[in-house]
Order: sequence, then structure tokens, then C-alpha cells
Amino acid sequence: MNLAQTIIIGVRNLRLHKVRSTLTMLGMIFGVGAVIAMLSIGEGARWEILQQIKLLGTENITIRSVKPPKKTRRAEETEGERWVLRYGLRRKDVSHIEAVCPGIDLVIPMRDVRKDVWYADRRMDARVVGTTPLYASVLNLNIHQGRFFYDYDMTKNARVCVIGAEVAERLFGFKEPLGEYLKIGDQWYFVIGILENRASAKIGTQAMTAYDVNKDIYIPLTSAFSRFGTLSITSTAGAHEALDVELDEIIVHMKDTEFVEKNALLIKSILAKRHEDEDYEIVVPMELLRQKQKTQRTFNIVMISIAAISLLVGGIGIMNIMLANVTERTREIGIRRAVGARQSDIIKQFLTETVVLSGSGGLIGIIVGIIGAKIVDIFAGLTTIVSLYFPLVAFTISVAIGIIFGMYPARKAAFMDPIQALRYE
Amino acid sequence: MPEVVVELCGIRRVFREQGSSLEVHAVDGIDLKIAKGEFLAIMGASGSGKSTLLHILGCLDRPTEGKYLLDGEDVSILNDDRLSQLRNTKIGFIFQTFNLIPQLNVIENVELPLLYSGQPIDQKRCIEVITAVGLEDRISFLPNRISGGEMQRVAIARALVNNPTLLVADEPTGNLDSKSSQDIMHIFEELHKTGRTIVVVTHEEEIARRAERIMHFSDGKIVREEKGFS
Repeated sequence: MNLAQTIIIGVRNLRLHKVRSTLTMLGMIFGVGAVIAMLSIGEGARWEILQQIKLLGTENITIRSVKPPKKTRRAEETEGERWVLRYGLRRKDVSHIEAVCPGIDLVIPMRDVRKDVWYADRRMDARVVGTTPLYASVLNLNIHQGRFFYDYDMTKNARVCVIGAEVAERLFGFKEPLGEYLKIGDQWYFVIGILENRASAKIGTQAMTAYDVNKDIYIPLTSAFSRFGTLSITSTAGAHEALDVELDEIIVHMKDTEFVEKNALLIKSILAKRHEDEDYEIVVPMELLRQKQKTQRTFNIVMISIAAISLLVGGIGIMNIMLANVTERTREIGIRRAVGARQSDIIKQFLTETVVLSGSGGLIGIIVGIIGAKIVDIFAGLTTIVSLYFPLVAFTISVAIGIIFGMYPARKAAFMDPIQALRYE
Repeated sequence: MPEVVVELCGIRRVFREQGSSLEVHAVDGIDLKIAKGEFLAIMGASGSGKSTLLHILGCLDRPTEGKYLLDGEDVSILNDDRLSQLRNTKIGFIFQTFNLIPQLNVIENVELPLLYSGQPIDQKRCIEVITAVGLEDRISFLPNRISGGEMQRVAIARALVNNPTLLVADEPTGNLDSKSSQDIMHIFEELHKTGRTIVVVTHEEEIARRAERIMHFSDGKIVREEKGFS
């Protein structure tokens, strides 16, 4: 008996009990569907983490200025003489870190201010970032048009700016921004470059929040210092507060990720010595990502286990039905044996039936799973990615389940005594 | 002396109840020779062990003791696969309860032995044997759509399809009315005329009388042997 014949007989036998076969298949459908959906969710999460790595750079350590805790501040305020709150990172920190830390490629200082930006009669609120020319390459910002600024612009305190894609769109519309002047605060800047639009990662821990670079405007750091100074006044709830912050952020770019961990500790001790208050925070993207990946892995394991359990339940359901099938068809088995079917022929026949059952359940399950993943994507807002190999894996699993859970009923059928089987009523 | 197809030497079949020392000697030392083309009837009361003997003859069961030569080959020492192969090629089985597979139609039931022969199915041969039992207009009927006599004829066709050396029938008319029984026995007689070796187990005198040779069976032993009518 060849395989095609066996399969045809298998399908025929299954079709004799359509409801029973369908119900049995449901177990596999849900199991495989769950596997596909879980894999897609896991893959989606992995992709998102990769995107974040790209955005933040695993070779980077970011140090941010943070307002020191209120207690110390109040003490200063009562002194009366210094109403300007001075805190955060200084330019000297940069040179110190550069001098002490090994394996450092670049240290990028950054100063950011929120300003109203004007072009003609259009206005938007943007983050104006003063930084050094290498900022773009460290943060993987791609230039869409024009150029990022050079050292030359730095030494000249040039009033030039590079704008994010959304800034370009909102201020200039269909107009060509290159070569135009826009007004930042009360000063005019010459647009020299436009950044590529970049999908922003929508998730992330607070410390890791990547700004939406599409809304940023970049100017040379020196220009930022000379034009905006280090002083800023904020009004909150009617109280004015003057802050003196030299640098808002320092990005330390390592030559290789292997230096990240060591330097993170080193930087911590350097800053602890140089700053009285803890008016800074150190963010190590790699560590955060690693943590995130770990959480993700745990989550994946739990999800896959759930899917595996439902597959197991599906498999047991199949075995159950096949056992009933074997008992019901005892006589047929006896007849087949009497006319010359070997034990292996009987095993083949019942295994084929089980595999047809689990395999077709698997195929439907794959479709259900892909649809399920799409639904999760749309309604739960989780990114899901269906890789090409998922259906292959899922189908292999369902066939394997058919073989594993079909073996016992098939063997039970094959090793019956043919005489007893023929007499079975 | 014509060619001997079946030779039994001191065949015993002992059943042992599990967990008890009680032994049942279903077949208790049988010596028997069946020549090619012979039509043999085995008679006996139920429980006399005649069915067990038939199962051994039909290679469905192995003797506990003794030697069984089928076509010169010692069957009593073969493994299950080899026995299956023998059933497939050398034995045609006919049962009291017909034993057709209900979800298969007439021709598919007849094809069944060929399915396990490892060779492509010879449809012509199937139609030939179905025609021989007079069911050519029932070819695609399911078993539940035809009468008992017709079912038994399908079973005979199935038994003949592989052109077996030995045809064994276990109470072939036991479930049939007398008219159908006559028809079936008529087919057996016809087959006998064409030179087929047939062994029929029955407890009906009238049926047994149709055979060439009748053996009376009791308590696992042959007690008497006589000549039949044909």
C-alpha cells in the first residue's frame, strides 16, 4: 500500500465522522494558532528592542542633568543671595571624562532649550539642541538633504541649523527649507540641512525615552552658548525659577561595547567626586536593553509554555479520539489483518489518519494564528511580525504531534490479536 | 497420489487462562493431509476446536506444538509479517459474518487483499471475480445495500481475488437462509470443479455432505472421517 492510497483511505475514514474530526482538529487549530501568535508577538518585541538599540546606540552612555532633590534646593533659596539654581553637568566634566576613561571614541556634549521657532507666519514649539558635529553620526541620524554642521561652524559660532523632518514639514510645507532663514527665539538661523524622517520608538522606560528627533532643531554648541547662554527662566504655577545649566546631556561614545560596563562605573565615580549633589543621572542603554531583553525572554517563555500546553491538550484530544476510533474499528482491523495487512500496514494507516488530522488542524491553525497576530497588532498595539519560518515550524510541530500522539493508538490497533479482532462485536 | 497442499503433523493449540493454571486444549494432536483440489468439510459441535484448527490452517494463528506445512513451507515457525504475507498470497478467508468493511463498496472490498500485496491493483481481476460470483451489477454498492447472500458472495470474491492456494470458510452459510446457502454451496462446488482446494467448517450435515471428504471433530481431535457426496 503506497502513501497516496494510505492518505486517501485516511481522509475517507476521517470524513465518516465529520463532526468528531472537526472537534478534534479544533484542539490543534487553537494550539498551533497560539504558537504562531506568540511567536509573532515575541518577534515583534524583539524587533522593537532592536529599533531602540539602533536609536540609542549600545556603545553609548548617556549622562543627563537632573534637578537636585528639593530639600537641598530649598536650603539654597533661603539664603536669598543665590536665587539662581545652578546644577547639572559642566563642560569641565566632558574634558575630565575624556581624559580619564579608556576606550572612548567621542564625548558629545549637548545643551537643549525649548524655543518657539518661526518661519514667516508659522510657529512651532521645538527642542533646540546645541551640540557638536559628530552628534549625528553617534546617534545614527541620517541627513536627508544638505549637511550637518562642521567644526568650522563651531569655531565661527555660526547661526546655522539642521532641522528634523517634521519641523521642515510644519514650518515650510511644500517649500524648500534649504537656504531659508528661520527664527529661533529672537534670532535668525540659516537652514543647512534636513534630517531623514525617522520612525520613533514608541515605547521605552522613562530614563530611556528617546526624543522624537523629527521635531528637533540642531545648532552648533558654541552658538547655543553664545546666543542662549546657560541661564533659563521657567515659570511654574506662578513662581519663577531661574536655572543655570551648562550642559543638559553628555553622550559618551565607546569604541566598542566591551568598554561600556567598565566606563559606566568609572564615570559614576568621577561625577560623584566632582558634584556635591546628585544632579545627574547615568543611563546605560545597553544595560536597559539587556534588562528588557531578559524580561522579554521570560515573557516569551511563559507564552510559549502556554502555547505548548494547548498543543499538548490538542494532542491528548487526538489520542483520545484515535483510541475510540481504534476500538470502534476493531473488526475492520481484524479483516485487514486476515486478508494480509502486516502490523506495520495497520500502524501506517492509523498514523496517517492522525497526521492528516493534526496536520490539517495545523494548517488551519497557521491561518488562525496569522489572523490572531494581526488582531493583536491592530487592537492591542503590540508590534507583531510573522516570519516566514513560523508556518514551517508550526506545521512540523503539528505533524510531530500527530506522530507522537498517534503512535500509541496505532500500535494498539496493530498488535491486536486478529482472531479476537474479527470476533469483536 | 496428487500433490499435497496442506500437511499437519501433531498440531496442538493450547490456550492458557491468564493467572490460572487451567489449560484448554482446543486442538489436541491433529495429523492431516489435504491434497490439491480437495474439498474438505470439518464438522463438529461448537467448542470442539474446529474454528481454532481453521485459524491455524488460515495462518491467523500459530500452533503451540506441531508442524504445519503449507505448499511445502513450514508455517508454524514464521513470524507475524511472513504470516501476513502468506494470508495475503496463499489463503482466501470466508467468514460466517461475511466481514466486509462497511464503508467500502463491493469492488473496494474485493480489492482489499491486493492493497496489501505490494503490487498495483488489478481492476480487471477484481471485476473478473465479482462477475464469477454473479455480482457485476452490484460493483459500487455499499455492503448495507445488498442482501446477506450477496455479501457472502462478495466475501468469496475477495477470497478469490489473489488466486489463493487454499480457501478456508468458517461456517459460510451460518448466517444465511436456505436459499442463499444453496447458492453459496453451489459456488463452492463450482470452485471445486475448477480445481481449488477448499476447507469448510460447518455444523450442518447438509452442507458438509456437499464436500468430498468429511471429518468429524470432537474435543480437539478427529474422531471420524467419511466420504461426502461430491
